[in-house]
Amino acid sequence: MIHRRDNSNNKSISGKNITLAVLVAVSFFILLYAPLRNTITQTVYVIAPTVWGFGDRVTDARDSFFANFRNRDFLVKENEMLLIEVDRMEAQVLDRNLLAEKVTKLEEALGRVRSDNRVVADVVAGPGRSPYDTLVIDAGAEEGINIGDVVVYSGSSIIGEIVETAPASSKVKLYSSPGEEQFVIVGQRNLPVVALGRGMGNFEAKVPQDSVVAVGDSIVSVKGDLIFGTVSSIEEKPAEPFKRLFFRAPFNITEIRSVEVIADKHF
Amino acid sequence: MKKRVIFDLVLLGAVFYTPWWTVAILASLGAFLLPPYYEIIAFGILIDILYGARSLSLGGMLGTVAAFIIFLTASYAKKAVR
Repeated sequence: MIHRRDNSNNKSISGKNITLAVLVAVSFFILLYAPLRNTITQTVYVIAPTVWGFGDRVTDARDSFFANFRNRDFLVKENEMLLIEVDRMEAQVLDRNLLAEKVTKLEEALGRVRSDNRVVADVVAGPGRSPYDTLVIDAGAEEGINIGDVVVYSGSSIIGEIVETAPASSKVKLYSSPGEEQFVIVGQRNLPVVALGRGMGNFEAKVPQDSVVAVGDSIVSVKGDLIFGTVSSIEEKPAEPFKRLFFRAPFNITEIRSVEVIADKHF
Repeated sequence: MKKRVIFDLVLLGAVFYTPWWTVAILASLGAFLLPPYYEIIAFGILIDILYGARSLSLGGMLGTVAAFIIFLTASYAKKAVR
């Protein structure tokens, strides 16, 4: 009796193992065989943007419903604060426009006019949802986006590059993805370093102990026209030949709602 | 069976609308509480298809590999507590 039960248990275990082995084989075939993976991705991406769009509409409706119950005084104060903030930002934009105008004139004088072909795209799924630190945007091959195109936020902050395109959507790999390495320039002395991604808009870099770097220094791309972030802290130990710089993107990466893809610009 | 379908739908919604760690917690629960929860592999593939790419870490198979690890860990854990 006991012997028979053991046999049925063994059969069940071996059945499970066979099922699991088949699943392993099928899964890895789907993911490793590029044409099949691409076909499935294209098919999924016919439906996925609609599903994400539905979720966003539900979130908006919920937010506007609960906004009705918020304290009136709080809303008045918040409105005042926002108006002050808008004034401050308008002044900054004015200043920035003047600077941009000056730069354009200088570039024209030097015969180096930049002619970026930028595509604006909304973010449909942010890095919080993805275990890969990727963004999914609603512009793809139909808008002229190609693999390797640089993605920027707010005009001049470089955040990543396109790694996969579908007709109407693309995936963006963030440069801050854990383990990603990028050559960058630190500070006013143009110190070249390798920035290592630490996830969610954070980076780390090592510079020689005697380098002149301060908290607040800008980190820019090698070509010098796109911003990576600013140095937020420096860790140095006298016994070590290097000091570690920690820097982050100048905005919260999870709050990005739209980005610009510079078509045909590779980093 | 009905519970299983409802759980699958909840997990499907989580893949689209919640952070990856919520999906991982829910999937672990499913793998531990439901009899052989093979669907977890399909959800792993879906995560890789939705958010991953071949040029990313583990060749864009992080979700599937994690799903297998959760499945196997839950199987051993179930055996250990029964």
